[in-house]
Amino acid sequence: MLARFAEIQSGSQLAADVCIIGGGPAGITIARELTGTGLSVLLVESGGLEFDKETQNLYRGVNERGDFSLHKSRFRLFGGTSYVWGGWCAPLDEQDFESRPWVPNSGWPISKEDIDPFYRRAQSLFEIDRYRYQVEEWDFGSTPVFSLDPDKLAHRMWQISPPTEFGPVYVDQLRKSENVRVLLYANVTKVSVDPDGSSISGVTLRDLNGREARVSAAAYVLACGGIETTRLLLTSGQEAPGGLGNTEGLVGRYFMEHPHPDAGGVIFTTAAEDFRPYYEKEFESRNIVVGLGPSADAQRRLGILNCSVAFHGPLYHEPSAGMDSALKLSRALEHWQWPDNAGAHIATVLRDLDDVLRESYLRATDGKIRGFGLIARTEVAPNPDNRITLTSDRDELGMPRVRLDWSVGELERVTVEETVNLVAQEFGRLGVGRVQINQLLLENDDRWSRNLSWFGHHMGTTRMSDSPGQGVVDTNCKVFGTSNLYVASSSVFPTCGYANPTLTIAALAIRLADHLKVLAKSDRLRES
Amino acid sequence: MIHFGRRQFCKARRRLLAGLVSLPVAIVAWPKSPFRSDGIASALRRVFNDSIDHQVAIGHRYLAQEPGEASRQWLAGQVCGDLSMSAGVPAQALLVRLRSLRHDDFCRGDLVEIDGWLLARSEARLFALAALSFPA
Repeated sequence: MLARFAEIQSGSQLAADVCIIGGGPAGITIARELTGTGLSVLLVESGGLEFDKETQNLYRGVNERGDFSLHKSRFRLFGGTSYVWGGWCAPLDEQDFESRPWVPNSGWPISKEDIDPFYRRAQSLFEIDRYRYQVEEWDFGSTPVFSLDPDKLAHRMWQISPPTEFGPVYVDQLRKSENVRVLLYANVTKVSVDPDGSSISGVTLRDLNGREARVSAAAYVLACGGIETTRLLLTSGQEAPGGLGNTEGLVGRYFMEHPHPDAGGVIFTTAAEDFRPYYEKEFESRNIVVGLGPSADAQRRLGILNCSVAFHGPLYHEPSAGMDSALKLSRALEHWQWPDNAGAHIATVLRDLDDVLRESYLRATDGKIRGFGLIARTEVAPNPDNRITLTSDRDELGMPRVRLDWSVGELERVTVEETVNLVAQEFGRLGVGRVQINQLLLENDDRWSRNLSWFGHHMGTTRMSDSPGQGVVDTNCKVFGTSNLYVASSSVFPTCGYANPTLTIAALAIRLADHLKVLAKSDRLRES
Repeated sequence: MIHFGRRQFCKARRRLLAGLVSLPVAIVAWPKSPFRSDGIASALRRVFNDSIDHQVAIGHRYLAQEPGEASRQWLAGQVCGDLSMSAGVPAQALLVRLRSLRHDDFCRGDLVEIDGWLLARSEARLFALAALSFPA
């Protein structure tokens, strides 16, 4: 069933077995998994089926770094940020789950093995091929991938979803569901706790016209993304000082996002055809991307984070920061967007104008590809000082807006530098190309971090742990100190690897749905 | 000492890439025109297919980073090893050595960064030798 908040009477009391807060990929995945179970499920979504600016403005907040806007890097409508995503799917690596002595605060309380079955089930949500993320499992035709030194480099692989927009693709299934109700334009403004502080007693819904309702459920799932989930926990603190699940002051800390620096470029010293698996996007009639990154051994030996580099943008001449900025500007303008750091890009284009003009001319006239730009996507180390807090400013619903205060550190810079260096070593050893590194990556300061691309991967702010002193949710994604409040979001990631987060979000959502089903079967949904 | 402006160096850098691509071609062609006793300069001309300017520019850049290596004799020893640059030197052996040095550098991770380009140290030394062999 699908309804708008305006269709129900103001002041209504709604009831459900499971209340899912947020209709993005995580919330929709859980609702789908609970379809046909006999459980009464209510999914409440702030937005509607289409984008609307008023609702989107509720996401406004302050990013102290200023390099991306909080209301432009996530979307508040049914389908969530899948409304604009690129469709890149990849699982985390085995070592991403491990505690690594050289990465402070690393380690998940679960292993890759624990989540593997759920990755496989999540795969079909994205309208992509079966679960296979090893290059050995693919046929690249007459040009195989390079045989890499496993002490240095390993292949990275993404399967590219159409990209699946969860809203339009799954709305009909949920509309037809007999046990799932979707309520649009319903904003949760407060999560209430019962007097003993351990059990959620209800949530308050409001719309932008001042209408209110209340939901009471046996279990609640916050599925609002890495920032909004935190905001709700911090806001709902009347009965729980400092916010729900925040007795240790960890809610909002360890914010992570994947920095995407321009890493330089590669010029071929062999036939471009030899690089085909790395720049062609279609194999076996499927869209995939093959990249490179430091092997687990290299990460350990060099004391670096996980990272990937992939080809982007063919070079008809040679890499240049100016051309990279020109491409970023042109891609943004194609989508009628104005990049947040447009001024810096324009300055870079003007500084490298001769290279930009030469490259543009050769693109138009020559057509012979001589190489590719390299874009990196690096893990960031979980840092408690990278943090979301509430401001005194309030949105149209009276909720405090958020402030994101964070930095990208030296370990991230060294990781990208070492990764590019390893690529240079391997391309040189194989006799296939030479690599130019973005020289900002060689500077021992933070200038490199001032020209990064971001793709809205907000993670880490309610991290998973096996002890309440080190995390906000337990291994079942239940908020510590509560009996019936769960989180389905990238906010539970203790570390983030290099992989785009959506596949992992969906896998964890399926895992949580299974857990809820088991609890329901034994009548323990409200575990108190 | 030659000083390169950024624009000049960019041009040289572009030509370096052409040089890196053409090096294997020179290596293949070399056995047909064996080394003669006209010394290092002549040998380098052959290695670089007579197009020496860009290698010289990169070589100067390397020497600016590694001033302690600015000795033609020392660099010739590093690049050529026991093979002397004289008549009768088995050219193929020298070329094999150059390729092997480069390969070993990449395997060991002994890279040199010049204006962002990550080159094998032996490559950079070859260019430095060219720089000292062809003074402006």
